[in-house]
Amino acid sequence: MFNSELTHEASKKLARRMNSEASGDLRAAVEQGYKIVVNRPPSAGERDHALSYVGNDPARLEGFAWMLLNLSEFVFLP
Amino acid sequence: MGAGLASSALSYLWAEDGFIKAGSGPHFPAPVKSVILLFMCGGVSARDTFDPKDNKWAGKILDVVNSNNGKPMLRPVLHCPRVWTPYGKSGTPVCEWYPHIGGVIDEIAMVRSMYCHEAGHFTAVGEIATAHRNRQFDYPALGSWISYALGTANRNLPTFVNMGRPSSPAQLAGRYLGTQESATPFQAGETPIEHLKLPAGITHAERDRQIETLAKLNSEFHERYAFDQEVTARTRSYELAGSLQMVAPELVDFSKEPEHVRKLYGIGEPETDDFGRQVLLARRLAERGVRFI
Repeated sequence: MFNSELTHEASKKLARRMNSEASGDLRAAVEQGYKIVVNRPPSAGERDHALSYVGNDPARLEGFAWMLLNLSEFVFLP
Repeated sequence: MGAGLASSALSYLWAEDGFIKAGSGPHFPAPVKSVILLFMCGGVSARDTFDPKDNKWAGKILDVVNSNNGKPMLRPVLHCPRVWTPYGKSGTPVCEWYPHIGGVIDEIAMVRSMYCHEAGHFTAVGEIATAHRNRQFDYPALGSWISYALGTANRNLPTFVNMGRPSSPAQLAGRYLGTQESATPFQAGETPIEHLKLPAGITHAERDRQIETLAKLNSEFHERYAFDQEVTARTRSYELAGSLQMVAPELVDFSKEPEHVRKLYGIGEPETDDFGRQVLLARRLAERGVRFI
């Protein structure tokens, strides 16, 4: 889940989708990412942590997408 | 060997907890730190290796005890064609197929008193792994007991490692000792652990930052599911995977092993390469503090 080619490619695609569905608004992209992957909006704390990682850099959405795919909530909950 | 190690460590724990009188442990101190178990499922038969037969029953019909749910099961006894020669000071008989083992027989503790109730391979493997005949999948494996009793000697590595394909899942499971005492799987072959390298384009600094943020994003979820042993154990295994990423490249790199050691393990020879790699890796794991391999 960390280093495989599959996760790497999926992160890229997920980042592209978040960015386009949020029309380039990074805050909305984070919100959208949570909805796509775990079917809920992020909590206030989660949104803050995510945004402080992404900053103002849309390229960082790829790293954020990788986190979403590695969330315990996504990996372990059936 | 494993049982002695486990029981002495357990008796220490039980003494600490007041279950038994302190000092009522084994007669000899247990200096063993790790166990390497080569479980040769489907290997060479006992009568062709270390269990001498005098052929006194050969050709006669015997009842096979414990094999038919208490009913008699009559089978002919095979003739054993091996030749046995006593070796070493102990005079332990070794068959002619193992001339080199004969030379080191005094270094080997031979246990011939062990037996198994189960006649089928799969259930027999489960009995040996768990010491139980029924509901074998409810009980911890031998390696899990060692892992539980001795704890970790190297925080960057698991305490219990399984190499290659197990003969039964019962050999790997921690069960009521907890998922954290289950075996960490390593593969046979050139890459014992997959996906150790970062994908192209990701730097270590960036990945570290991502892992740091991921831990923050996970914290609310982990608080909510703290009671769930499976989730906790898996989280811990992911943390372990992080440190494995640092130590494993050195661990699985045999290039610094001297030529005579590589030769000793048969690495590079087509007949022995695969097995030799697994055994040498087991040795390297034991040298680095893994308790049970």
